[in-house]
Amino acid sequence: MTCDEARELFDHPAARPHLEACAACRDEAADVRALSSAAAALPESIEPPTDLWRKIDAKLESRVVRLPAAVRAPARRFRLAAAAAAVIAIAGAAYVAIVIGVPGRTETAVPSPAVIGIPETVPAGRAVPSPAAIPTLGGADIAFIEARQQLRAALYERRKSFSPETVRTVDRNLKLIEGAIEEIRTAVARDPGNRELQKMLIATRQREVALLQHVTQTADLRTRTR
Amino acid sequence: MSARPEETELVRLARGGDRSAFETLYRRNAGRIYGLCLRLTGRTAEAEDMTQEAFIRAWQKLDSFEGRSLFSSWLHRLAVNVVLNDRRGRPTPDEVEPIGDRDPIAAGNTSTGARSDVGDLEAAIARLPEAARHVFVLHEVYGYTHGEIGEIAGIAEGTSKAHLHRARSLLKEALRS
Repeated sequence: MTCDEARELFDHPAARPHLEACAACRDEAADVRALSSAAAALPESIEPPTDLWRKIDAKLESRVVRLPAAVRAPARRFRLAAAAAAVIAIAGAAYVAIVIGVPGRTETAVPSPAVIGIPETVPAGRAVPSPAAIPTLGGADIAFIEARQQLRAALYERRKSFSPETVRTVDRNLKLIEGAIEEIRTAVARDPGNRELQKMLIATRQREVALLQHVTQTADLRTRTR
Repeated sequence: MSARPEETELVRLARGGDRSAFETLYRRNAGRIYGLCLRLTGRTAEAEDMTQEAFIRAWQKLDSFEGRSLFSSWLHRLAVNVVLNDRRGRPTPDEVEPIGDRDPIAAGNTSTGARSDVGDLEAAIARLPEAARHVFVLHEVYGYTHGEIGEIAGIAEGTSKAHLHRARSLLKEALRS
């Protein structure tokens, strides 16, 4: 074994014969062991120079966003409408908080869902929750997913009340919106500080919920008038 | 190894969205995570950013913590991933910028206090080339095996050993001068 090989294998039994015979490598091994011991004895903790908690806390997304009690009301029809409204309220509030940054405003900016001809469903003049109650974008994200699941399940139950052509059109549009949401979410993940992208994500999610809400409500109306 | 009951409870509460429980977990682990990040990055500002990122990531991934290890061990590993992933794809300067005496790691201002051999060693580690520093810190200070380092850093075990060998040589030289 050469000195170079031995110096890479100090602690290996195979290096022992060489170390016994070579004083230079023995010294080198002693140095390495001393360095390892000193490194292992370094204190594990170093206190941050400043308290980082506030910065961390400000960036934590809400893990659980509970929809208002109205969402869990017994009548299914109203429950669905409330879920959609709650979601839009949450997203609108997040939009205000993130993009406008003015708590207490009474109107929310809702983009026109012109792409797929969905009627606007957000009532004007709705009170915006207090800043403390405003969830982050992540919270709105979760609320959207929950409401979307409910509305999609409701839509599935009502499919038979529409013509096949209408069902195909709705499916095609939902797919388009989903594709757009995924694309925007990917862009947001790459550039989390981009407010325009955040705004676009909320607006696109609103369109999806608005479409689902509109279709389920239309189906309900048809059932009642038959 | 299973987590302490109190820690398990804090994790359970944090999972349910309880920020004060998560803050307690932060307070208990901040020093360890910041120390790790500071040694891996060699820079105070970057270490603060990485510490924040590690806790934010932990909050996001709490559901994936299964409680089979200590939360602190899980968090430590997550922080290593955060730092190493952050460095991946960035241009890597061969040498880090020298850090001044006011930097806590260079001044030996660790939990042990005054400037000492510990401070000299910390400063010398901070000046190692990045890859050598990562391997030295993980292997020698925190006891990661070359296999674990290879897995986290995406390098072969042999490469990890070579970086350690280089780090040791450079440190011996630096501490002699």
